[in-house]
Amino acid sequence: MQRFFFHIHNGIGFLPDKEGVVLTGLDEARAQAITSIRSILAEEMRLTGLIDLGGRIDIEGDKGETTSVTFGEAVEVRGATS
Amino acid sequence: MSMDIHLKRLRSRFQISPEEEAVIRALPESEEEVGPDKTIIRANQPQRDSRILLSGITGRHKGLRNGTRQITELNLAGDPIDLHSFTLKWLDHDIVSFTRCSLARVPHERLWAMTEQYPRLALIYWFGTNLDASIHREWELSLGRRQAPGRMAHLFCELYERMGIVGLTDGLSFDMPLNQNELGECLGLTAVHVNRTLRQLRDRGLADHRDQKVVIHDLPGLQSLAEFDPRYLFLGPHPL
Repeated sequence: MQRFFFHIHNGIGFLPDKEGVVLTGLDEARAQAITSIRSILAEEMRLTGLIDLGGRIDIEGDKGETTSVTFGEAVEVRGATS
Repeated sequence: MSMDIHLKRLRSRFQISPEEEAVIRALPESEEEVGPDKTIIRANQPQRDSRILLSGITGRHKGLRNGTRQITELNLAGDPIDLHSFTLKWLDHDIVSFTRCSLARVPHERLWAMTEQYPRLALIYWFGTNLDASIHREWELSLGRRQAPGRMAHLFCELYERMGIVGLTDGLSFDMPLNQNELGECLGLTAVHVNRTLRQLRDRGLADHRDQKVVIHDLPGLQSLAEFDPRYLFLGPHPL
């Protein structure tokens, strides 16, 4: 188990994670990031009708592992007109 | 620790006579201390006692095989946490501690004797389980219909009222030792979404959660965002 921090970069700015979550490894951390991005995008879309895929979550493990998940990686878009 | 905080919580709603107070104070057979992050009651285990929380914060939760869990209610100092097992005889959910907690253990036989001899006290404790159900309904509304900022705002408004009854608020602030993951388990959000939602409340000047404390900056604004109507908490003098 290790602690992972999820720092969000998106249109609103940078939101550092000071607390982190204890997870089994990088795979679980990436899965958490994807769930979180979908949940955030879904809510933004309900409220504003806008889907802004221009963000990412930087994942930082307390044992030095890092990775990023872009908002675009967390969703599949079909039939986009522009 | 003593039953004082429990009596204070009861007296925020009900007149309790000296005789009734003596009966309530004689209910516990023993006091128990548990550390943080312990399971106090496990679902589906036979129960012969119910417990009153004297200090700390506990929560009830149910979970799925994949390890995700939903916290369905938080209980605060002075609350009975598992009166339900007096009639159910076991619980359908786990009760866990989020902090160090002290608990008064009340054997069901003593509750039974109390209900026979003091029917009004039986109604007052019955009120307690009905209040739990009212809180559950409000949380269902949050989980099903409120957006993330409204859910968070509503939880903070609820805890502010329930803590305030027994003097656990300091102005507009109170202890909130749950981490972002646990807050997410109350609100049906991931820890990441909780972090972002807290940022939204902070940016709007409504409230902040930092160093295990909630600080409310704009109570009317927070209540308005939450559509918080405190009547579901049945605060203040009650006709029972």
